[in-house]
Amino acid sequence: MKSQSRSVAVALIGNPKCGKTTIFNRLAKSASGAVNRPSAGAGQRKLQIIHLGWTISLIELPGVYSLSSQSPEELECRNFLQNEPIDIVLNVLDSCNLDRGLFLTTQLIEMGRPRIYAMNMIDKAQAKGIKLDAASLATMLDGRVVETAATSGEGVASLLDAIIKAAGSLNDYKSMIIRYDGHLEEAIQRVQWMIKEFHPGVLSQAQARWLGIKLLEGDHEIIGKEGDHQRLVEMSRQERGDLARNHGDDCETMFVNARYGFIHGLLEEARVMPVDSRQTFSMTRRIDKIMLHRIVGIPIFFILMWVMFETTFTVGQYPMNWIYALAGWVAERVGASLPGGLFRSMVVDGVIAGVGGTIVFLPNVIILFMFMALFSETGYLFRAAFLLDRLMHAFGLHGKAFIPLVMGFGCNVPAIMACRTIENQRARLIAILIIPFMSCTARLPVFILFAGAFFTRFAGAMVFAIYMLSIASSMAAAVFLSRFVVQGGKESFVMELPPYRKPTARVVLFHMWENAVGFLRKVGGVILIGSIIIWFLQAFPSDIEYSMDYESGIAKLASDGNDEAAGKLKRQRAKEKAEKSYLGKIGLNVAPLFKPLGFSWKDTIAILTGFGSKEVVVASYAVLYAEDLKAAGQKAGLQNAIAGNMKPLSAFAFMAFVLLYCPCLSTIAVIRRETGTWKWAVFSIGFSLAFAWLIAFGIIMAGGLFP
Amino acid sequence: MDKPVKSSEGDTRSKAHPQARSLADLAHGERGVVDKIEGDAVFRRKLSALGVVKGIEIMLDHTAPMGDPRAYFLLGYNLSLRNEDARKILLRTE
Repeated sequence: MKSQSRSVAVALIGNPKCGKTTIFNRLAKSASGAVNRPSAGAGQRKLQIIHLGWTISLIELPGVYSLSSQSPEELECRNFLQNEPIDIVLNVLDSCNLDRGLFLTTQLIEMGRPRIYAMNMIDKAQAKGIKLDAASLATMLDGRVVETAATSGEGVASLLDAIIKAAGSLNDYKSMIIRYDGHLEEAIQRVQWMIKEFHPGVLSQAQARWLGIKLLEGDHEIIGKEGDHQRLVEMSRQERGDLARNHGDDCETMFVNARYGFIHGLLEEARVMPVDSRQTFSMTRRIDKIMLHRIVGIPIFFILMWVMFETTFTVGQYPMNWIYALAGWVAERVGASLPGGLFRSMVVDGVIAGVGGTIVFLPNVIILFMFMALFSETGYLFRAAFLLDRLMHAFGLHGKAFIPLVMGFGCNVPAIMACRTIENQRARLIAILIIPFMSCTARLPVFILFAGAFFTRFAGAMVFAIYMLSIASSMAAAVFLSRFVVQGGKESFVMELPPYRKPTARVVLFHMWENAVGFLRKVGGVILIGSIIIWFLQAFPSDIEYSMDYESGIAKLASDGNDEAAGKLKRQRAKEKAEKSYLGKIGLNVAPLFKPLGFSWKDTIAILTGFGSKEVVVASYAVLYAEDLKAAGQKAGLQNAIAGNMKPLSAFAFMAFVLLYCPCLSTIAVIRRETGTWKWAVFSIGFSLAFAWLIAFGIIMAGGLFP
Repeated sequence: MDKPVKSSEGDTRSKAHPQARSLADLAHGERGVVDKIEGDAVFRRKLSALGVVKGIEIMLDHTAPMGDPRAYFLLGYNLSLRNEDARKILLRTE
């Protein structure tokens, strides 16, 4: 029926790290026609490509090992495949790891949608001496089999052809059935028969069978859905009990064993393994002998982290200075070409100062994302999770939470979404709530600005210290939450350590590019608007009643030749003007809250403006100090301008406060979405504000003890 | 260097099942065959999706700095498990 419109919907599914994403990206490259990227839902990526007259909608589902209702991701995949109008399921498999990967496939077969198989990483399998018989795999798995090596692009074109061929013959598609042994099969038939009674004419043969199998497996979600059909639920429960009594194994285990039996038989026929299959994994295992070493493993981890932050700071410095010089040049040019007055002030002191002041940090952000991509692409992140699980466990966290936590260094929003890989609800909620304490790149500009201004020689070390504080805070928060706030049961830590992969330049660059664009988009959007608002609030009201007649005072001192006193008076006037502006009034009103921390009203303003998005903090400083910079008459930059503003101790407290206070708006929204209730989003705001204040205050107190 | 290390029988038995050895009792490089998986349905479901089923051969490969978790080698890949979970995976006694 779909073939008239010549469009086909394809869902990509596979184990984590099977190369699904690379295939997805490669398919777009191989298409002969246009490519659209419609906005995608949570955790899914969509792509529409035109190829040989067909419109192919690709949807990438999250990586899963199974389609039980175990984790939110598994449930999402299952519901998606069940409810959405998907024509073809593209199952991406790691050719080196079919024994496990095909377990998901058996479940896909049972769901009855037409399938295509991408035997990915075929180059690696061949290098290991694994031989696959694609033709017999295709017969036994009932779907076209294409051997691919996504990293080099090999086979991706044939994959597109296979999709189109399969799409052309959707009408006469009939799904295969995996038959189970005697008693199991009989029970399926009986349940299926009753399902037809309850769902007359609605379900296809394959769907009814799938439902029957799920009921016999005792799948909670499905039993819940069939809750109205009391007799069906009761009957399947009885069948389950009978089977377990007769076989000594519970029903679910019987299904699992049967599925693995099917896989085993299939691979016996279609795969030839090298003589010594144990040796082949050795490269990864050899690297892990060092990386996971009981003594040097943890030091290596810390060295890698330190290298990441040190490079981010020191290497980022050079392009940062160039951009800074460029921004200054633009400001000068624009300033000279525009007529004096409010408009020029808005453009130069507002827009250019704010946007330019933030954009200088783009190199740092890109470098940090490069490291994140490297750690994640090589598979090192999983090792870090392994090394730190015991420690994380002590803090009430799950080892798997480590990966989203590190992602949080990039951006909290995807990090919170990545928590879906944690099956246990309680562990997941704790992870979601502590991720806002992970220092995302939006906060990095603040740290670089402050570290450079107040701790010149130790700037890199200070940034590292802030990141350590970030980790320590999230751990402390985790302990607090797991003790007093979040209730729930125990979790287990079952995680694959995927083989090390050489990161491809393409993926790393893509990751950097994507995040650079995201950063620039923010600069062009929220930061631009924020800068203008702040400029406006500090420029108005323009008719300030001064406490004294500065004009005549300055004129008199200047005519006396007392330039120093005149300059002092000028600065005093600027100070009073700033304090009597709208912004100054707001700041002075809120400032008492931050007085114990040693923050001025300008710092208070910067904090307030950062509520929506933390990059705005630096933009605020840039706008707030635009006047001072001019008054000082130096080109030394923002760092010098703020350096005299507070004590180093307060500066560190300020960095800590900005690190910890209040998740940004997007993060709050994603907490709401992922926890399913506003309760936790609101909790997160209050909790982090209180936490930030206390930590900053603690720093001031501790610093006071050791003057 | 990955030759199975013969551990002396009897001293490393799981407490809950004095007669059966569990995955947690494996020495480095030693192989065992899974016989039975205990624990709740959620745990067993998770393991089955990763290929840990009856009859599978598993070898202890790496141990984390504090002795826990450990990484086991099976079906050509490495799986990490906490010791308390590894204790629920009983091995076949030859």
